[in-house]
Amino acid sequence: MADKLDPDAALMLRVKQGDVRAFEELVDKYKRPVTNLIYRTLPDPTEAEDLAQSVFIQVFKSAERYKVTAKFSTWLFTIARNLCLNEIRRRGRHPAESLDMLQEDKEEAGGKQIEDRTVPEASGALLSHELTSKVAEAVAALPENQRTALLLYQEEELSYEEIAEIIGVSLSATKSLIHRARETLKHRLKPYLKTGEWGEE
Amino acid sequence: MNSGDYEQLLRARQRGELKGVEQERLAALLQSDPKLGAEWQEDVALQRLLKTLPEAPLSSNFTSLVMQQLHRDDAAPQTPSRWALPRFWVRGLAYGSLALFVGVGTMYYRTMAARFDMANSVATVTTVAQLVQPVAMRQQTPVELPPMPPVDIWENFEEIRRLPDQVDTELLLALE
Repeated sequence: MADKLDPDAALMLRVKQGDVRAFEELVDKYKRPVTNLIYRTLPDPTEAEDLAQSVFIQVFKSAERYKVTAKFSTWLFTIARNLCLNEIRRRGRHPAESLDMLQEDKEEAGGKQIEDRTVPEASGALLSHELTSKVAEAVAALPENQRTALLLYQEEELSYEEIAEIIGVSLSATKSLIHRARETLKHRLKPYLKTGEWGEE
Repeated sequence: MNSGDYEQLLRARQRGELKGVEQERLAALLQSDPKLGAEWQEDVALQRLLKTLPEAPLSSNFTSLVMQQLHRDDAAPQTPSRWALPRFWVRGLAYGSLALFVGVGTMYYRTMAARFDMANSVATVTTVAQLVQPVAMRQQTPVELPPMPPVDIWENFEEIRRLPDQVDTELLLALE
């Protein structure tokens, strides 16, 4: 009757017993996905990494409360999302106003790449960098629940059911969030969709 | 094609799992439905764009940093909140409040009881005085009444209480 135990859930059960090595395995496996998810909301790499570390610290301290009714990744991303939301609230940042701040942060973080124009392929790299910035801006400008749902679906390839549990909405609401997020991005990134490059309309 | 099938195909395409037969069927379907075809092209293009999102820079010793923080948190003494009261204060406050409540309640009870007793005594004396005076006046004959105690004794209710029963019996006879 019982499904095969999720390998990560098995590791987490060992963490509950105080197995630190099991915890380190989980951190190694999920540090990248968790940090990426946070980075799409808090574009400063240092802050994103700090918050990602807080996520895993919270996971360890909450190990006693972990139950094997859900996949470990569902529980982990729920904690990550909640800490992200807390940080957003703390800063009082509104998604629609974050575009300007996001652009400034990106320029500060990636300034060296823009300055290098001596290499022959610089124009291509520049365009690529601009494209990446535009995409990142458009994603960051999405409402939080749409952005989280889309990223978990697209990047982490979680199922609708898992995403619904993480965000705390119904299955149909989850599908709707992802659909709306895609439609918004397709609208904002229309010039790039055909060729993947900057195109004048 | 319903939206569920569409999403499944899109995800399979993203994972590179579209097999030869499925790819051919999909191509035929998209050609026959231009609107669906345009939508598919846009969704595929969006998938490609989202793949260009940069990965977050990550310290090479990320896991060690997490473990170090956990050890620091374990080692740090638990500082209680500055608003938290020491337990003995809380206990003392509770016992003190209880004692105060009991004391005030007892005092209130005794005060009310004393007032009630006094009211009873006043009522008794008033009744007796009212009964005695009219009867003596009506009889018109000298009645050998027992010597009444001095008038000022009426002011002292404690004395009234101490008057012997015999006085009360004679008073009753006089009333009759």
